[in-house]
Amino acid sequence: MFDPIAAHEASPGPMSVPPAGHGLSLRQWAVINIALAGLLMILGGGTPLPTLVGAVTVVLAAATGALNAWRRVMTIGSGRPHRGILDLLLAYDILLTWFPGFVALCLAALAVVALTLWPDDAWLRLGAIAMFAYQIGVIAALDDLSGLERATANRHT
Amino acid sequence: MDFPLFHADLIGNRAIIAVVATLHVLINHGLAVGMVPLVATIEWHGQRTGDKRWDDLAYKIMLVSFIITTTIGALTGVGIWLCASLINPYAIGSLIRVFFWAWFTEWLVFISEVSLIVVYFLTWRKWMTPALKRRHIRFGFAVGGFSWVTMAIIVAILAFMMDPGSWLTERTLFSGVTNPIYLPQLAFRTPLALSMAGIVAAFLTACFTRRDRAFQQEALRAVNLWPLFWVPLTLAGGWWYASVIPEAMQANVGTALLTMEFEQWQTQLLEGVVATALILYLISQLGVLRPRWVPRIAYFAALLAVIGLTGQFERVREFIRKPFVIGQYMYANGIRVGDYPLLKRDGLLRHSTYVYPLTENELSGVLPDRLDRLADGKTVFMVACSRCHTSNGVNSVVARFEAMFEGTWEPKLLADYITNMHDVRPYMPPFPGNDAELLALSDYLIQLRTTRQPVEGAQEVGVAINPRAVDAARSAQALLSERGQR
Repeated sequence: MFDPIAAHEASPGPMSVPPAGHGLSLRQWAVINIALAGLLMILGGGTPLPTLVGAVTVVLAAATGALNAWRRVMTIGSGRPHRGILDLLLAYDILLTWFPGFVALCLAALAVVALTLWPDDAWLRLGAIAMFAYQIGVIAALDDLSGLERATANRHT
Repeated sequence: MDFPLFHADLIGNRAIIAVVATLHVLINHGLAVGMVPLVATIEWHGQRTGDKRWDDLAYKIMLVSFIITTTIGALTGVGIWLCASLINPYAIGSLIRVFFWAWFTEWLVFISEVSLIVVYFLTWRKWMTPALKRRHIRFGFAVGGFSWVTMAIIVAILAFMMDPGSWLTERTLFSGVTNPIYLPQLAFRTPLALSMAGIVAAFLTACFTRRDRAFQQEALRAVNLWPLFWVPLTLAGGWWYASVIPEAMQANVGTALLTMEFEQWQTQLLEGVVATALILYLISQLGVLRPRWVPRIAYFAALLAVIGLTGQFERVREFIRKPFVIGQYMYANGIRVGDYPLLKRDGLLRHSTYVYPLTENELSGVLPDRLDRLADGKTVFMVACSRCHTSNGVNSVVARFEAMFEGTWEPKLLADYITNMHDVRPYMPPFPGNDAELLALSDYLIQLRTTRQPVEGAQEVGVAINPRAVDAARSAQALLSERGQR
């Protein structure tokens, strides 16, 4: 039987290869970009700059994530007969593909909103920026979520 | 005032019902209402994929739920009735009069739920053909549906106790059920139950799938998706619920969150609650994205946290409706708002069917001329204070006054404070009796402080029929016959 998790572990995910320019992988670039955005937000202090950086990052992450998730959803269940709209496997795969990214985006957006609502609370700002960076990291890592492997599995079976 | 009063003077009456009711809510929400649909979904998933490991996992989770719900869950369910009837028979009496048919329906649904859950669990390993398996899964969803209906009926009563709404003027079952807090509270509790079940199931899944790491990750990912989906809906329902809570109740939140001594910690505690909920959510999120990064102890911590948060929520809900046990209708001491003018005029003791005589220990060292007054004070304490306060135990009335007056305990000082205490502390009911009873109560409180004797309830020392109440009843009867003859 095809094991999607084992297949994922064995296969190089889209975030881990190929190495982009300057010898860094896409995953490493993602980490550097997120760290830089976070640093900019910390250094920006109470100015509108951190909010702007955060908002732009969220919008970009949303656009990229939506595109990736859409591509993945298009391949789900393509290799087997559907069982109507109540097809549990299909619903589960679609939910698993869309929902974690949607949640991460909402939490990242909430963190940016927290920055604008409490600009003077240093600890809250730091917490919000940490949450923001974590959630953007989650969105970047979502590319290799099991939805893709499951869809592949469905195609194979 | 027509029932002999049970009283637990060490831990307090509130603690008994709080422990039993909170335990029941945790089991009902986390292992029945929320868990059975999740288990049935896992079983359905197993049937669709043809992977028996899903079916085994669902069975093991159901085994735990079945054992706990049919033992502790059932006992605490009955226990709530026993405790509520003992501790505040007036409130439960009024609720039965309003919600008789609702409770009757709930009983029928509950019996069906119990029968179905037994069938669901005991046929699991026997109904293995595809057709029987499909029927079995349908049974699972039916159990979930029945569990939800029982919760939906009880939530109507809980919400009614907070704000009866138009029932106060219309006095019908329909107006009682359609109270302003009902739907918001139901919209909060339904996803809360489903979220709790997901967190419990994640811990159980981490325990039950240890030997198959590959399946463990797939199962944890699926199970963690459940709370990830329901928690935002819980927050939305909670927001709606909070928005309909009357202002007077919201003012009690500070004390309700902890105790009176820690009122100023309200902000910190709320921040702690928000942070805990966020961490719980992040655990579920990481459980979906990278299941192997989340250790089993994290799921256990999440389980403890969700128990703590739900327990705290129940405490706050119970407390903020004070000074009422049924909003605007009955005070926490079990005396109806509408009876206060009569009791203020005639006095509590004239309408109290039973009196609570002083015990041997309480009698020792008391001068004979004070005996009657102290006996009156004890009965007033039992009727007006003992539903919430103990003498020297938890939520001790002596400790409360010591914190305020320290060494200077004068009957007049205590009486003045008690007269106005509902203005100073909005969660306290006004004193229901007359001035003489107020002074008798003050005397008795001073005696309690001096002797440190526990106040024993009717279950330990019994009660006596109140001669004044008998006289009052005879006078009323005579008046009625006189009017009838005219």
